[in-house]
Amino acid sequence: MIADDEVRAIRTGVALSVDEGVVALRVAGEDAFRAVDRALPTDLHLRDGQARQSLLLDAAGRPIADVLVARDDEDYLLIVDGVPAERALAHLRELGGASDARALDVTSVSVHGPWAWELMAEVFEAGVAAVPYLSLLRVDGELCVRAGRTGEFGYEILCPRERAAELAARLADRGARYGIARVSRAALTHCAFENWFYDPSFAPPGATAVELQLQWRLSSRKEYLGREAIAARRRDEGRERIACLVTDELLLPGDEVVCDGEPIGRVTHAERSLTRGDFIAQALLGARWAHGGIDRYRVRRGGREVAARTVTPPLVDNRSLYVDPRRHSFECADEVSFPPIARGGTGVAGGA
Amino acid sequence: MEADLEACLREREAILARVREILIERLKVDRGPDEIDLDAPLFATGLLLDSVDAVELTIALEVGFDIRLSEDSLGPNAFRTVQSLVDLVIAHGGRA
Repeated sequence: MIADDEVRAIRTGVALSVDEGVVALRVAGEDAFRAVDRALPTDLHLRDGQARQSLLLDAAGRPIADVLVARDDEDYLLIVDGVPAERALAHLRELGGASDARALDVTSVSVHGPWAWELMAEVFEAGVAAVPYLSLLRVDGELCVRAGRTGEFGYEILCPRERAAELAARLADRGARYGIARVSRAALTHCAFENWFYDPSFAPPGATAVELQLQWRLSSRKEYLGREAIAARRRDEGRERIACLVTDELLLPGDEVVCDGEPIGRVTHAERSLTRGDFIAQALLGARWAHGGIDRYRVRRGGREVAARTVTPPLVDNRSLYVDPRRHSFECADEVSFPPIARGGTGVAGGA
Repeated sequence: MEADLEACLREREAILARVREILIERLKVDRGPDEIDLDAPLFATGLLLDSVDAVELTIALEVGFDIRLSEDSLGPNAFRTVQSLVDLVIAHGGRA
């Protein structure tokens, strides 16, 4: 059960999360680049300190894990979500031949929210606020990735387990003036869904990177596991892709989406949006139907039909997009002009 | 299917095809059209556009769809994904 306060902190203030189950891998040695490049389907053009999103794919082109890969000098750091460390390591060794790959014994201490940058700058150093999105840095000697999974500013510190409590306490203490709240992994995942970020926990079973609209994470040049399956899926005239639905009641996975009484797809994940207050769903629709701005579809629920409209994601107008670390401060938050937080207007012919 | 819905879906598909062309031909996105998903982010590690490309993209959309993009419509979400561009074109009365 996610508390409203958790989501409020993520969306409007600062949220603190501690994850002892984070899977972080380091690939080192002379063959580090080659090994990671072979194992990931993404082009790996990273300068020292840069990060990017990637995937672990199976031979059928289905993501088995979400990956954030960062270059740390000549090493590569991988934060993996969706599979245990042993399986991710096996994937790296099998595909990349990585001989010097190991799981890090770390805990993730992360802060999220439109004012997270200010807390990080206050607790560590002012320069943190200027670090670009998708960067790897060090704070207090620990690895830290500026990435975020909620659409808001996000910083994930990977620290030795024995340091996590002290670090979290320091952030919580200094974060009191920002109204900091401790949030669960579930709250972060919920916000990721509202922002239409990929999360393995709500990906439809069997969907490839094509249906999931994650082809931007795939190289168009190099060979990778699953490439042939991806190419075949692209050629498939009957292919589907995920679309974002908004409804007035909660849907369930498996609910049929229809147009003029004809099935066009099915709901694959649904939640009540705690930010918006209405109901949002992911549906796998035939590609010709899977466009935003359509209000003519209906969802069959228990012998009746519920009106649904497709919306161009994200569903939230993130406040972090309107907060500028060069000009703003939490103390003067009232001076920032924020638009309504819910996005997604009207239907057919009505735009987003 | 109702005619206006059919027309709307066709129009969206046609605008999407033209947006993909613009991304490939004008913005030099090094991908095939069927590799450019509706939800692909345009910037950062998505389709790898940068702030200079944003200016080029604005001009290309205005010329390509014979529209004038008003400044107040170009908020932080306007150029977020490929689908955002389709919405932007439709909101400004653009036709494929």
